[in-house]
Amino acid sequence: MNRRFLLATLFLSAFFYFSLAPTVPAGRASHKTDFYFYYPDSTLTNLSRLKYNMDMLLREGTDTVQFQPFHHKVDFDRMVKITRPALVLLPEWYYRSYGKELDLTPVLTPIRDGRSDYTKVLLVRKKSPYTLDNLSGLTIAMTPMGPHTVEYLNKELFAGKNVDFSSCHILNVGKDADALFSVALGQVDAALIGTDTLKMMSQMNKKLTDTLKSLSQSSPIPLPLLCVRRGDMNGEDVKRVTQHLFEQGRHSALPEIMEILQIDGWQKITN
Amino acid sequence: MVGRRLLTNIFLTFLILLQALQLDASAREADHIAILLSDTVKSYASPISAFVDEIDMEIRTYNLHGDIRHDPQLQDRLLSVKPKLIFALGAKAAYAAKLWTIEHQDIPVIFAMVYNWQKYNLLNGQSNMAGIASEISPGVQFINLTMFAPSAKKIGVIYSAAYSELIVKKAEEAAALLGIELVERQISSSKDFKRTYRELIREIDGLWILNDPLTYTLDNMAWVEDRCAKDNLVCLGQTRHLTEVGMLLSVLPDMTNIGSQAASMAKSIIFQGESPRKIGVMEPLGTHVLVNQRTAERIGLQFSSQAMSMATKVIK
Repeated sequence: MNRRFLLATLFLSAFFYFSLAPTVPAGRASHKTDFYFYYPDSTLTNLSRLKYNMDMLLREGTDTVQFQPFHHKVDFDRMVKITRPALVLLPEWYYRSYGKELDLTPVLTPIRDGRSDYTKVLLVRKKSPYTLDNLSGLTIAMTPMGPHTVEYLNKELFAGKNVDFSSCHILNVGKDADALFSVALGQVDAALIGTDTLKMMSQMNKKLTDTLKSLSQSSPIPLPLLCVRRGDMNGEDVKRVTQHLFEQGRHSALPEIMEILQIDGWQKITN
Repeated sequence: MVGRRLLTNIFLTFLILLQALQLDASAREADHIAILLSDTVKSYASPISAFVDEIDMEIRTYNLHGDIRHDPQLQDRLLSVKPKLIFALGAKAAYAAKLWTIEHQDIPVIFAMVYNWQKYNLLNGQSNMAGIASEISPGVQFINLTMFAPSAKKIGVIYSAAYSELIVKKAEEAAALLGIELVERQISSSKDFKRTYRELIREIDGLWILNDPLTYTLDNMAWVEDRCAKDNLVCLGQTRHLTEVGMLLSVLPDMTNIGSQAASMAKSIIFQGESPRKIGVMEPLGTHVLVNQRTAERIGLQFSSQAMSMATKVIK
């Protein structure tokens, strides 16, 4: 009797879960195409500026695409899984970790100074005693790099560079600038930040960046990927957005977006 | 005979397997983190959500509902299966976590969202307590100031020694690092604020507003928010409200990032054996930067495009 009751409960729970689980959040019009942005290594913090310009660009072609940038991984994680957006610009590590689960295909990548990659530098204060040989126990501030951060750092970004992050304490911060400030002020022992952020900060406050030294530079990291959900590859909105971004110069908001994102153009991903 | 021995062996193997399964189950049961809340507070939601997202462990949540005596059984329930760590949010939760672990200092505690954590003596006599302060360091505030108002070199601060001596000492170090001169004035009554401001104004390009109970009064703030703009002064605060009503800049802790930071600290303690005492109380590393563009225009300040890209929110 109990077993029957249990089976019936399980069956009913599964039925209600699958039949009533929302496919789109309440209040969201189902005909809207979602375009999400999450890129913590960007020098950009002012996401409302990006949203304003991106909305302008999208309005020129269609009013059915909703652009939503995210500051925090936790918010992006939650929404990307619930909403399953048709278009997403995300870090390459995120695509590698979750791209398959989210059914995403990368189609475009930005170009900066003729390259589609960037590097990160491991910074410590000039006065600190740390060298590559004694990183053990160091607290390192950095933006998130996925569920296997230490492995990714050791085996890919710093492979063959005599750096071992295994015994370091990684502290996640939301943006590169916060990591840089925290090492400069001695709140952490080291910071791993993008060279673009370092360059920008040294233009803005040379006194601050002059207090820091680089211990090592990573191998090239791909710039973020613009991905399309497989089922939406041939959707009109998706085609229009990728075309807008790729065909530079045709739309008045695009140069501003490129300036905000500090990129020069987009490149198609063929394989 | 052989059949009986076979049956005995099967029975023993079954018992061993059962015991192993039970041990495994109890081990798994113990592998959890307790989140202890002072109360049901909306602002706890984002740090909790970020914490849970980054910690791959079972989470059990306990709530003091605003009173440590509200549920006399709560301490026993929380400690009945030893948590790997307690993440305490709010002053009451932090204090309860301290009291409840006096005899269980093998349970690490990380506290957050405690304003003026020093006044609760949370670290005294405890080797298991670490935390995240609720105030952004003066250094981070000044760095942001140098980006939005690079010409501001002399920054005034009005404070009471009783409440803000330590933070002003820290600010002196940060100012020196950034090439800023800190012009300090002490007051002993909130009524002295306006007079001291008038005296100070001739010497400074900017004013740093502290969350000091003698300076940060409704009357003083209502008065100074207007004066800053009239006197073409770059005013730096630490609350969203101050910038919304007209001060140039505020640097606030990023609440979501407090959860991520706590999760990173918890991982170091649980998986890498880091001592909570060694971690101590960290400053919040994530920031929200609010700037008021209307005020900037009013005082003749133009933000660089790079600075604009650093603001989390621009009030127009």
